[in-house]
Amino acid sequence: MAEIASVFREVMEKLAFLFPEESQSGEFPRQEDAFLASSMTFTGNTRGGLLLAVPESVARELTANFLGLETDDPFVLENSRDSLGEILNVTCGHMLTALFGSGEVFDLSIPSPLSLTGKEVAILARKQGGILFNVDESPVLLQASFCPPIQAQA
Amino acid sequence: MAYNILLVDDSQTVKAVIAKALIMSGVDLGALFRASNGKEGLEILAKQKVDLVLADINMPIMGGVELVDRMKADGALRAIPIVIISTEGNVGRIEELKNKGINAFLRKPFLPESLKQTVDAILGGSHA
Repeated sequence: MAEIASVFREVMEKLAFLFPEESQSGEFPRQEDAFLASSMTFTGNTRGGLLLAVPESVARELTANFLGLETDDPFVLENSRDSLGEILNVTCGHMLTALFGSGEVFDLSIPSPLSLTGKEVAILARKQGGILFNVDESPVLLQASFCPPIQAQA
Repeated sequence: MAYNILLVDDSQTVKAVIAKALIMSGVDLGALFRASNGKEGLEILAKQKVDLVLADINMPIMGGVELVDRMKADGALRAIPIVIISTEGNVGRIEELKNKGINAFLRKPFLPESLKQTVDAILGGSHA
């Protein structure tokens, strides 16, 4: 999980100029927020999925930073889901290389957007594979699943 | 000489970022065409004069590998340089793409300087 968290932090820093910190408390604040999420799957010797859920305000901020625009720019408002999917896509590609090396072949799906309530994200955060981050005091969830579980492959 | 460039990526954000990086790099840009998958890219290539294609791999309808295959099988498109910009990290797949005839591979996230160097190397570096 440490490697996955490290990859996500690096991708967010490089693409969105945001600096996620892993939540130490594991508590999930602001369950009243609406979240944008994106999920994708990967298939290879190991298969699994990755989901990223962020509050709408963080989605706008990361999109604005990604594009060098203001958060209220119409292009930012129209493309927050798209940007979130791209962050997830890049995270997934680099996570697989970090975990399995550059010799493993994986097929990645196209990221699919979805909307979640804060309560739904809080439930997901308690499941295995969930890594909770703070981004500018907002909760951000990265959820990874592997089959077979990666712990068993060590 | 102004160069016509085709961007093929299903992400509007990525296309906007690449467009901005191209403009900032000082490339003498003519037309900048945008497609959301390989099929749309081929439709543009059939109608427009394009000097360079920048394409993702993982796209719906038609991905970047099939786009490369179709371009290399078409005498009218075979010579157009192709740069693949993708999250792909498998060395075997990247080598396979190079063997198919792509001119360069950039892994996302890429620095604007890397894009400039790549485009310079392919288009001759005659721009600023």
